[in-house]
Amino acid sequence: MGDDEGCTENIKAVLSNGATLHIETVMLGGEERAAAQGLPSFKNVTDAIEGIADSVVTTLKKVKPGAASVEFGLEIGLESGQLTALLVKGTGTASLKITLEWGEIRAVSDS
Amino acid sequence: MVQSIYELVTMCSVRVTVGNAQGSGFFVAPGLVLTCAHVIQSAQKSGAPIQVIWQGKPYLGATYASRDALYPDIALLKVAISNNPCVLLAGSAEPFSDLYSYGYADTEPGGASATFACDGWAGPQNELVKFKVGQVRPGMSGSPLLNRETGSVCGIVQTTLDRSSLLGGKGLLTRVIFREFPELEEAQQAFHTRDKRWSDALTQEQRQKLQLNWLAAPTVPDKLKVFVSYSLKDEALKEEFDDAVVMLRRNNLIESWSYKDITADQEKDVEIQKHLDTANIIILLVSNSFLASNALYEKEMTRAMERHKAGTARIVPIILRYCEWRDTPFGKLLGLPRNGKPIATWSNRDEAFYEVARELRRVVEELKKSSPLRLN
Repeated sequence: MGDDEGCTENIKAVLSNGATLHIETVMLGGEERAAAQGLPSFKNVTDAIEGIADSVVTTLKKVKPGAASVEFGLEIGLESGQLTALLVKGTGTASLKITLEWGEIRAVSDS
Repeated sequence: MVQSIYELVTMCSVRVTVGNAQGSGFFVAPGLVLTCAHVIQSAQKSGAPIQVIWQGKPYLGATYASRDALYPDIALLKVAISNNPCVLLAGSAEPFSDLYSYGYADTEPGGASATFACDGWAGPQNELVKFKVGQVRPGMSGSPLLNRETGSVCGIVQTTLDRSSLLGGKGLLTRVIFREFPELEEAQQAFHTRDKRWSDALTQEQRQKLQLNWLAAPTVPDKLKVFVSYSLKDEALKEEFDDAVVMLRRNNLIESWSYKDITADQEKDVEIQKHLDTANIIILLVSNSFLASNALYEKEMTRAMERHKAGTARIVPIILRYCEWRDTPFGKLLGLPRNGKPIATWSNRDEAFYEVARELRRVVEELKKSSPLRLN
């Protein structure tokens, strides 16, 4: 376990439709109450994606570029028993690579 | 069976499940389990049934009393069981105390032991104990924390500082448990006065540290039970040994047993196990034949060492013939005769056995004086 790379474990989590999957998860530690509370929910991660996209769009609306593309990578972490999203440098090791693309922003705003 | 305190802790431990939530707990009175309030929180919200699993069997649990799940985070569950053993709730933990726990981690649903080093007190009014160098997995909430020095349960596990490392966790101290549930004090005294298993498993040092004036005096057996483990090839020397300790027997200080005492209607393995588990002193008559026997070396000696280490029996190796007994797990113990000269090599064997008998008498007297052992 290095300084910049936490140890990872495969954690089973539950999606919003009830399906479960194993996620390679960075263990971030943190104090938590020591009862086992069933599977952690993936919702924190999807909320994070929504939040990031929302923030980027707000900014783009102000800047109004002709076209834009934003790419970011997320790793999944477990902190105090809850899944959490880690925004990582580069997308090589990311569990999720997300590309947001816009066109015609100026055209819409200029008209 | 004479039980060590650690065995008693495992016998008192239960697994608690409520829907998806899982935790641990332990008996503090007949039919009464102590656990963490956050373990049964969902039962209080959703009315989901509480299941208490004791020795592999599920029972329905009902909330008898519960405190705030944030703090002090403890609850008592009533279960329809009346023949359960109970932990001894007493004492505290000091910095550097050794702690033992038994709980039902998510990775060990069948139950597992854990040991920790105590950091000391923490939290509001120092009502928590913080410990490390052991893994607290989810599911271990509600496990007992046994302090090795006092031989009593000094707290209950509540949080982990990191589920995937040895950072340990925190627990609530026993004095807070008594403050929140004062009725437990009386129930504990009533139980441990009636059922002496726990009090008999305490050593003299642990009793002194605990200073519980109501605690029953240890049951001192009239006759100590002596188990003689030897190879058939050393039969002649074993008989000489029996003759040498005849006065210990005639004075009713000991009763000795070896597998020669098994009668035709008894099952050999069961009898050996029973006597090995209840003996106060275990004599190993050591020779190459002893070391070469799988039954003696791997089964009897291994169990004997477990009991010696747990402090529930004393091993006395008697060296019959030259052999490499110093390389065995009991090689660090004081062997007899004291000068290390195997008995078979003495020119005057009576003298050798006389010395052995005198040393054995000393061991017997010492055990009877400070005995944490009990007659079964």
